[in-house]
Amino acid sequence: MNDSELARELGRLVLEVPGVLQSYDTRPAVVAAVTDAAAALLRQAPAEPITLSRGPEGIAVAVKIAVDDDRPAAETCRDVYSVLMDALQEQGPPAGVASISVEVSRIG
Amino acid sequence: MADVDRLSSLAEASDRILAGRAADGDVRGFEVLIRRHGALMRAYAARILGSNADVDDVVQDAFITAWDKLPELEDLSAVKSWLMRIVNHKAIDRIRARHDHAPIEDWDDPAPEREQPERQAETHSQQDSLVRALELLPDAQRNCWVMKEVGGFSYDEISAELGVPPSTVRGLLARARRRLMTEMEEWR
Amino acid sequence: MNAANDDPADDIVDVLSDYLDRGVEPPRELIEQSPENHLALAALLRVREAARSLIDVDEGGLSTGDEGWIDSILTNLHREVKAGRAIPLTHPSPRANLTLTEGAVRGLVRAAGDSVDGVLVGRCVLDGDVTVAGSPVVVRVEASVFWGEPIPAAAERLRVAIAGALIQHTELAIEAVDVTITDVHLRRTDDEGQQS
Repeated sequence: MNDSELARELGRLVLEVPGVLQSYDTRPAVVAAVTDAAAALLRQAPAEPITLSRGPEGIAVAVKIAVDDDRPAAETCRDVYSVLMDALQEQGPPAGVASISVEVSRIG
Repeated sequence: MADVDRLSSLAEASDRILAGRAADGDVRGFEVLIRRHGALMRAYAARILGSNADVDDVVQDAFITAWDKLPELEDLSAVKSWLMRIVNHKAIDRIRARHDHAPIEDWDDPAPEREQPERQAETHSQQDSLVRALELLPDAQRNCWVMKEVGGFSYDEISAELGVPPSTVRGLLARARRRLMTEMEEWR
Repeated sequence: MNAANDDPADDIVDVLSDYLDRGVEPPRELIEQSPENHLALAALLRVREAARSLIDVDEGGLSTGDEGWIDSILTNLHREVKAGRAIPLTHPSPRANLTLTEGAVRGLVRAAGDSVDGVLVGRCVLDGDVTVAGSPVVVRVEASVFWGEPIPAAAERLRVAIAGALIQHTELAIEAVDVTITDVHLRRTDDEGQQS
């Protein structure tokens, strides 16, 4: 699995975490969801929901998400972290995991 | 609550509440501000620009800037006059660009010749004749006059916006008034 | 450029304009001094009256044809500028960098407030260093209540709803939720029974 395949796979896993409504494009200077209609479109085809980079300390992953308000946002956020960490460790990247950033940009 | 209901109850909210929401990132609140003040801003921009060309662009640009800058607005209840200032600035900018950013003293070239008899036939009211007369004014005179008489700007504000001394503003205004009065007499 | 200003007719227009600018009626003697002055004032007043009508549009005077224009404005808004500060969430692992955006928290406050019947939330400020976990934070919220709602009761319901949402979803050390009712709004007549 190359990095872009890995990013796609991680992006898919994030969306499966209970409480996650959608992920946002993490590339800078990209307008995230503007209207609900646009949000629905983005949810179907997020351009790059996961940023993945490799450095001397290992792989770094970042994701921006919207969560629902049925469960505590902090809990959903920590679950996303765990899912990403498990998946990365399963992959066993030689350099290990440097950091996992999860940003909640919208609640409810 | 459904979005439709939310929008209809937001339509009853004051400018202050809507501006506060928009400053915090609420697109719905901002949308209500656009619906509430968009027509006024377009009418004003058309007067500054001298025609309807570019009006949609200029006002759109003004709203996008307003969205970015709303968090800096101290008196949220004054959002309407603040929006008018932004649209004024954007419209003047557009005219600056039309003149290749030449100093305003050089914007005083006469307006192009128009087919006056036809226009005269279209003229029905005092307002129409003023609109026609405005179209005939050089940009610098029209801008000063519209900012003063329509926008309610002070001499100092006009001078700051246009980057010319207040005495120049006075001169331009005096000439604009005189020409408008004369033109309107002719249309009567 | 100065040639025009030497014309005496300009002077009287200037003088009369100055009076009108200050909202003062020009002195009778000045007007009655000459027929030209009288005509100048009449013409000036006519232009001013027409000037006021130039942007005489109805509030909300956009037509259905403008929907596309409104949409294109909304589509072009820079959403990211409203993200604000990053509010940390705690995690035992040093490799975890978990945050809520300030914008997300404001949105949460807004939604919680709007869910209170008869209330619309305006500006929300998180006062305190939210970027450091555990720093004391005071939440200041402006709101409008429907005309006829008892204001203290509405403000209290709002405070409770906002505090509840913040406790449920964030780890902010909330010291207080300050609610200021800045406005009263009218319920729309065709909106009866639609409020949830």
